[in-house]
Formats: sequence, structure tokens, C-alpha cells
Amino acid sequence: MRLRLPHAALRWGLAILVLHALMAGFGPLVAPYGQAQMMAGMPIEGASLAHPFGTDQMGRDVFSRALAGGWIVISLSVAGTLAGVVLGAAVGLFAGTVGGWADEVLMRLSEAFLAIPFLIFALLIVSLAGPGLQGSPGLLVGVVAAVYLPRVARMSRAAALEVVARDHVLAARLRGEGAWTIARREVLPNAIGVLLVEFAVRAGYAPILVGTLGFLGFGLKPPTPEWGLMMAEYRNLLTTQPWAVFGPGLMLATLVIGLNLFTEGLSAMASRAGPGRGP
Amino acid sequence: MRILRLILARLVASAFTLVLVSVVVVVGVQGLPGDAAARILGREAPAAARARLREELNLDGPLVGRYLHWAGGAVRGDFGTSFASRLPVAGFLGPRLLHTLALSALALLFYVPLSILPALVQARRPDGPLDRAITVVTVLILSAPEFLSATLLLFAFAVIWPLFPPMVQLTAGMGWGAYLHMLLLPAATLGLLLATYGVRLLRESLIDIHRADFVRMAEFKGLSDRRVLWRHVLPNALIPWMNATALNIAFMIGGVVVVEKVFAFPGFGSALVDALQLRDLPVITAGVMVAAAIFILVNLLADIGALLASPRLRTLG
Amino acid sequence: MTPALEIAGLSIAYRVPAGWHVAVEEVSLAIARGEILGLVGESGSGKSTLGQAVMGHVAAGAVASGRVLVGGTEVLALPRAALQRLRGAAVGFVSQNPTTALNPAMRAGAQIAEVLRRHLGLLPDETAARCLELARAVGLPDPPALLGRYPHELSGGQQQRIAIAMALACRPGLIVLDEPTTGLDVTVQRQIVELLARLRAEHGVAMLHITHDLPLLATLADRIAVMQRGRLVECGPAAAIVRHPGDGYTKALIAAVPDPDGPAPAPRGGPALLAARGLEVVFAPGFLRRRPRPAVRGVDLELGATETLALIGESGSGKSTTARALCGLVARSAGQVLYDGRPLAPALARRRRADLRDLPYVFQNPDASLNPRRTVAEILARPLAVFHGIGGAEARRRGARALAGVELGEEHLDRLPAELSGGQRQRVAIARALLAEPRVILCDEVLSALDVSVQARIIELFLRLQGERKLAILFISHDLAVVRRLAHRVAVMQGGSLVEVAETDEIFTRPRHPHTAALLAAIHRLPKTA
Repeated sequence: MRLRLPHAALRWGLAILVLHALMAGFGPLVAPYGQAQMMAGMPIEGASLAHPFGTDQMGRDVFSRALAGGWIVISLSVAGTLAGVVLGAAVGLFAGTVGGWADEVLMRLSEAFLAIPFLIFALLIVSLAGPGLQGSPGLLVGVVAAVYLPRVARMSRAAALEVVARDHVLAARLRGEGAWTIARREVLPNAIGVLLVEFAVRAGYAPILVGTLGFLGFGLKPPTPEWGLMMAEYRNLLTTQPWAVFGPGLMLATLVIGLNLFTEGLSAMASRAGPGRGP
Repeated sequence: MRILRLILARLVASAFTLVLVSVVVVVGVQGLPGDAAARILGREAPAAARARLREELNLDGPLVGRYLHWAGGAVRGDFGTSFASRLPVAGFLGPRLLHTLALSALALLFYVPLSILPALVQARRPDGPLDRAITVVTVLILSAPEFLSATLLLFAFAVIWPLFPPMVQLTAGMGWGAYLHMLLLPAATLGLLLATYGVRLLRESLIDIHRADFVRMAEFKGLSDRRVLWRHVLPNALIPWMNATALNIAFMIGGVVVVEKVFAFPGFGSALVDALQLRDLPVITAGVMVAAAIFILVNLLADIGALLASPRLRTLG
Repeated sequence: MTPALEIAGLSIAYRVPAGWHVAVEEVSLAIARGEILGLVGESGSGKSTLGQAVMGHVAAGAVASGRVLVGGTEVLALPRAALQRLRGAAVGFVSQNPTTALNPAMRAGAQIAEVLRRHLGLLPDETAARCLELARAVGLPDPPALLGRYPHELSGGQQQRIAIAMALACRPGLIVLDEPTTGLDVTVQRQIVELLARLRAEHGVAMLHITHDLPLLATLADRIAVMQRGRLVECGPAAAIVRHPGDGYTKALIAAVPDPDGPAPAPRGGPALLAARGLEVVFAPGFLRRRPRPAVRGVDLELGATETLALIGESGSGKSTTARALCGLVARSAGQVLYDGRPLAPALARRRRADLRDLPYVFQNPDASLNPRRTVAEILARPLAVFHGIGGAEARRRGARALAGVELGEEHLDRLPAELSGGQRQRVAIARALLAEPRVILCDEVLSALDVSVQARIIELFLRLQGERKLAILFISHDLAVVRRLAHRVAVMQGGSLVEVAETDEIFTRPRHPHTAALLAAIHRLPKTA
């Protein structure tokens, strides 16, 4: 009877994610207006059937813009998460399997990076990258990866340490097998479940991170229809046309809900805690 | 005394981490390859202006010397002069940090009950209707980006029902009551957002501990359900919660950036964001270091708290 | 007079994906006041489920039918509040693992005191006095000091005495003991059993003693009940059950118990193949941590090329560490390890591949020593690939042959460890060790996780293997009866030192060291069948 909830979560999550994928893929093709089309309606029109999220100061259709933003948010999040998880897992599994001074150095260093609150760390990277790189999707992917790398490294190191202490790894060491063989044959197959859940958890937060950077003015630049950025752009419409603010917010929140439900189901099946704190 | 030795070990480790962070930050901020002055002023800026800035920011010379110069000032409380406002960094960030600390303290008052009570309700009947309802609510709050939830609350309590001001304005002569009124909505927002993480974690650990042998044993001793909860389950479940709370407070240092931006709160977070926007290197360095120091301090306190609360940790280290 | 416990037609079933699993089926039994009933069975027999039902506990998702009367009160139908008044007062419970059964964040004395306050409503100073009295009754040394300690500051035996004091606190008519001595050292086991016998004599408390240890019950219990797959197959006076078992399963169970007085294998001479000289292992102290502690000090040991040497001792005596230092899993701090007359390097990385091949290690727990993500065929292929460069179909053929050698069929090759039973897994681990074609195998408590019937078959397997090929075995164990059946010589360790080495019969009949004598005195024996 504990099995019902996670499966339901998995189903719902998957359904929402499929819907978002369809919107991201085909939304711009079937959108009522072009995402940059000015005067698609009167400026600052409220929500209606013609304009589900209303229009903005320039008369652009907010819904059409939001639809166009989907693939940007999703591709940036997935790319950044993938890079961060793969690199972090490689570092962590290596450190955990090899142990000794390499492990000590890598973990001290990751501790130092973890001591900087992740959002401030992300803002710092963008700021230091300079005006030339700011607003480029590549930088954003790098920022997401950089935020995740030390976190994933610590987690996969802990997973590796747990496996390395097991007797079957001792048996492999007694056969004289090297660190690389042990990491590949003994540790990775037993840590892969944890790593997959980790990927899902991180992927669930990445859209928020991308959106937050956009909202604070450290992400993509206008007129890119990224949802966090749109919310910042339309902030002064909050009293007159709140749909312009909450429409893109709704898109972002439902995407993350889908990801989190999916992760919840996945991790319940792998019997591990669900979405945790932040990145 | 074993406990003192353990605390000392944690202290030494924390100090080491802090120094390591300062190296990473100072080297990262000042020592990146390429011309920092060009990054600040833009490539089109005249060479003379860039040279002047480099000199002012102490960007020339070997990295080791520059780090020692910064560290030497920092231990005396001198973090340099803000390049944008021309004020000493300490005097500029200090008062804003106090506002943020007041905001955080108030948020903590919301956080503690909001994170404990729902978890207790959930753990009474895992998978029951209340548990599921609260799980859905926490997943919803957790899935909404902080800037969205904060904007929603602002919209609800400052626009629809204007109980609170939509923008936080702190003036020099304002009374305590007015100050509190200004802080209340952002603090409640911050506390609520953090509490969802606490609820989820505490629920898990309550249910975990409920399955532990010693809780079964306490039930087999015939203790009342209330005593089993208060004396056997809760003290053991709160230890991981304390560590999570430390992480939450640390997260608050980052989350405060967003909340301050939404409520236009003139605190440490918004000052840091402005500095990052302007590439005001001395303020950035000091601000990041302050955030890291608070993070390390809070985690240190949580570690010591766990040591004191858990007899087993206390003797086994 | 109502019996202390009466169970009538009790069945308990769990919902499992494939339908219902019946854990307890139509069990009826009774325990008279002051009587000790031993309930024996192997893992999965439903004996623990039964014990918890006596406490009025049925796991969530399980259904129970039938009646359980504790002192005349039906506990399965009792409302929660009434049940909580009965538990602890009319019936006490002692669980298997005292380390996890005591609240780590509460002092030992407080955990006894709360039972007294709850059920007897004693005043604080009365409670304190009664706690001291109980602590003395269960034989705790220095009660005032020990009651003020936290559970982790007590030894396993002391923790179990605290747990017994908790169960006894309100003078219940019945105590349920679920494997109360399983995790403890043999000498401590013996003390706990003596304590239980004394408490019964002094307090007249009835006991339901659940265990897999038949010899222990033969000395302690008045009557013995035998459970197999949820059913009660036999119940009767202890002596009668042990001497004249009526049921086939009980007969097999008794036959499988190794005899500590049986003949030992004839000693084998010959030169030493593996030897330790002044072996010492010191675990390095951590940063600001405790002083370095020697785990093994000055051990001299010789293992002949075709003999089995048993290494015995209590937990923490250094027997595992000694074996691990021999094979290089733990680096020694001083001394020498000689193999075939040549010194071996302390660290694994510095040893020759041929030396690694010759010294495989078989671990205690086969759940952990087999990679759960690899099939049996893949697991068995590793030593072949690493040491003999054999792969592909040939490796599979040899793997199948090795399985046959440990009495497992070829069909097991494509299974994952999780799809095997505990005994089968340990056979796979042994087969893997043998595939390296070693000259020595180091066996670390390889039988202790297994049921007696499985144990007996693996003992026969070892005896056969040693008859078939030239093989030296270092056999670490805490079970002296097994050692007598298997070992040519016995080495006894205590506190990191070797205190006595002699031929097996010599050790059992004329122990020279007092610790050896104490270990021997702790053995429970089945009465000889007439």
C-alpha cells in the first residue's frame, strides 16, 4: 500500500512532463501569435480567450511568448544538469574509490565551494565572466554545471564510499584489481541508481536556478522569452495585468512540479528520499 | 574532556575551510586570467582609466602578495573601499547586514513551528489523507521558484489585501512597531519557503525512527503514545532536523537575495546583487566572504548542537 | 489457575505482491505459570511473528485470526489504550539486539524508571530504589554508575541485562524473549542464560524463549516447541523432544547440530605453508582522536599445507584482523608473514599476483561479498580472468563445474545473488575462492549467518573439499562445536593476543589457558540420545 503513491506520482509527473515537452516542441508552431509580434492585441490587456495570459506594454501576446520560452528553459536545464552530474559523479566516484590524499584535496576544495551559498556562487560566476559573456546560453549552462558539480561530487563520493566498504570490493582488491577496474565493475553498477535519482533531483531544480538568474538580471537578456526574465520584465504590471507575471510563473512551476513528481516516484522506487533542499 | 576536544576539532576544521574559501574567492575575483579592469569598464574604456582602476583595486603584482594584502586588511575589519559608492566596504555593508539579520531572525520564528507541526501531523498516520494533503502542499511550494512564491504572497497581502506595504522602506527615525510591520511579510515568506524543506525532512526521519527497534521496545513497555513520541521518537528525529535547519539557514543567506529583490528590501542581499551587477570587486569579495562565514558558522553551531544532543556522537566522535 | 499464555488457532498472514504469505498457521500452545517454553525454528519459520503477536502486535498490512490470551486477557482484540496498560505490566519483551532496542539518547536507568512510573506510579525515590534493586537482580556490576550511562557506553551483555531489567520491572507474569542471546559472545550468552534460569526460580515468571539455538533450550527450557514454515510441528518436554524427536523435521534439526564432544579430524603434520611471526596490527589514530590501539599483538601462527586451523575467540579478540593481515587486506605494523618460506609484503599492492591467487578470503556475510549487480556466472568468471586468463565459454564451463563442486546446479549461473538463499550465496562465495585454485583459504565466520541445517551441509562440503585436494584452511569461528568437527588444530585469541594453540582434542579435553576453559564451559550441549 506504500507502493500506490509513488506510482501515482510517477504517472502524474510523466504526464505533466510529456505535456511540457509537447508545448516546448510544437507550442511555437501552433501559437496564436508570433512571440515577438508587437500589437498582437491592445497593450496591457487582461487575460481572455484570445490572450490567455493577456498582453504586455508593447501589445505582445504573453502566452505566445511563454510557449516560445519552453524549449529554452528545458534545454538549458538539461544541458547544465547533465554536465554537472556527469563531471561531479566522475570526480566523486574517483575520490571515493581511490581515497588517500587525492580524495582529501578534492573534498576540502568542494567543501570550500559549498560554503558559498549556491545562488551567490552562481551570481558571482556570471558577474566575473564579464559583459562579453553575459546573457549567453553557454555561460548559463556552465553556471548550472558549476553549481551542481561540487554537490554531486560529494554525494557520489558518499555513495562510492558506502560501496567501497562492502566485502565484494574487498574481494576484488584481494584479486589485485586496480582502482579503475574496481570503480567500473564493482562501484558504478551499485551507485548508478543513486546517481540517476540525483540527476532527476538536480534536473528538477535547474529550471528554478535558470529562472532565478533571469529574474535577478543575471541570466539571458531581453527579448528572450525566458520565464524568470519575463516575470522580472513584467513586474511593474503586477497591479494592472498580473497574468503577465503569473502566466510565465505558472509555466515554470508546472514544469518543476512535473519533474519533482517524477523524481518522487523514481526515488520511492529506488527507496531514497525525494527532492531535497535546493540544488 | 572528550567533548571539548571534539568541539575544538570542529572549530579547527571550520577555520581551515574559511581560510580556503577566502583563497578561492580572492583568487577567483581578482586573479582570473584577462584584464579585470577591462571586464569592469568594458573593452572600449581608455587604457589610462583601466590602469588607474587596476592600481586602485590593487590588481597588479603577484597573486600571493595581493591575497596577503586583502587578508591583512580583513582581519583588521578593513575590506577596502567600494569602487561604486566610494564608501568603506565595512561601513557600507554593516548596517544592511543588520537589517538582513533582523529579517532572518524573524523568519526563523516562522520557520520552527511551520516545519515541525505539519511533520508531526503527517507522521501520526503515514499515507493517511492528512499526510498526503500536506505532501501535496509541500511539493507545490517546493516546486514554485522562490521569486514566484514571494511575488504571489506580495500580490495577495500587499495588492489584493493591502495589509502590508508592497515595498520595504526603512527610514532612520522609524519606531520598532513600524519596523516590524515592514519586516513581517518578507520574513513570513522566507520562513514559509524554508519550512517546506524542514517538513519533508522531519517527516522522513520521524517515520524512520518510528520503525526503529527502540521505539517498538518503548511500545512493548506499555508507554503511552504521547510519551513514546515526546521521549523516544522526537529527540532522536530532531538531530537530523537540526542539521537540516543549519543548511536551511545557510540557504536563507542565498534565498534572502531573491526575497529582498521581490520586496525591495534594502538589506545585505540586495547590496550584494547591486555590487555584482556593477562588478564592485571590494564589495563582492567582502559580501561573498560574509555569506560563506555565516554558512560555516551556522553549520558549526549545528554540529556542536548535534554533539550536545546526541550522547552517542558525544563519545564516539 | 489461568495459564500465563494461551494461544489458540493463531494464524497470521501478510499481503505480498503474489497474494498472501502465511507466516503463522493454526498455532496453538500454552505456557503455565512459571514455565519456560522454548520456541525453536530456522529463519522464516514465523517464530518472531508469533512472539510479537503475544505482545498484541501484528504488523501493518497483516491479518491475524485465532486467540492470544496473556494471563487470561485476549490481547489481539484489545483497544490500544488497554493494550498499552497491559504491555510492560502483565507481559515484558526482550528483543534480539539490545544495541538497537535501547534508546540511544536516554540513560539506561531512565529507560527502566519510565516503565515503573507508567505502570506502578511510583514516587521518584521509590523508582530510584527499585531501579537499583532491579539492576542488582539482573547482575549488573556497580548499579549506581551503570544506570547513569547511555546505552552505547555499556557492553552488549550489560545492555541485554538492562533490557531484561526493563521487562522484569513490573513483575509481569510472562516475558517474551526473541533471540535474546544471539548477538552476544558465548561466555556472555552463558551468563544471560544462567540469569534467566535464576530469575524464573526467584520470581516465578513464565517465559516464551524464541531462538534458533536448540542446545541452549535443552539446558534452559521446560518444554520445547518446534516451528517450521509457520506451523508448530512438535511440542513437548525438553528432554523428551531432544532425546526422542517424533517429527521428521525435528530429527533433522537435531541431527544438524554439531556435536562439541564428537571426534575431531586426526591431526596432520607437515611443514608450515603460511606462517605469522610476531604479527602486530595497530590502527592509526585519527585527527585529535583516541590513542592508537593495537588490534593484534605479537601473534605467532603456523598453518600446515593440508590442515584446518581454527582461530577462535570472542568479538574484538583480533581473530579477523589477524586473518586480514595475513592476506594483506589490513597492513600489519610489525612482524612477518611467511608464505612457502618467503616473506610477503604487508600491503596488497606490493604482493605478487600468484600470492594473491593462493590466499583468497571468504567473508562472513555472503550478501555483502557478492556484487549484487552481477550474475553468478560473472562473479565466478572474475578469478578465472584475473589469475588464469580464462574467459568466454571456457570460463562458463569452469564456473558450472565449480558450482557442481559446491553442490549447486548449472541453472544458478544466470541468477543474481538476490535470487539465491543465504546458504546458496555462501556456496557461490566458496566456489569463487576455489576457482582461483588456491593453496590456502581464509574463512571468516563463514557459517554464522546461516541456519544449522545449512551449516551442517557446508561443514561436510569443507571436509570433502579438503579430502579431494591439497588445501589449507584458516577457519575463524566462535562456534566451538563446529570447530571440533572441522579443525585439526585450534588457536585461541583474547584481547589481540594468541593465548593457546594445540591440537583440537587437546584443547577440548585439557585446556591450559583459563580463557580457553571459560569458552569451553560456555558450550550448551544436547543431552545424548539413549
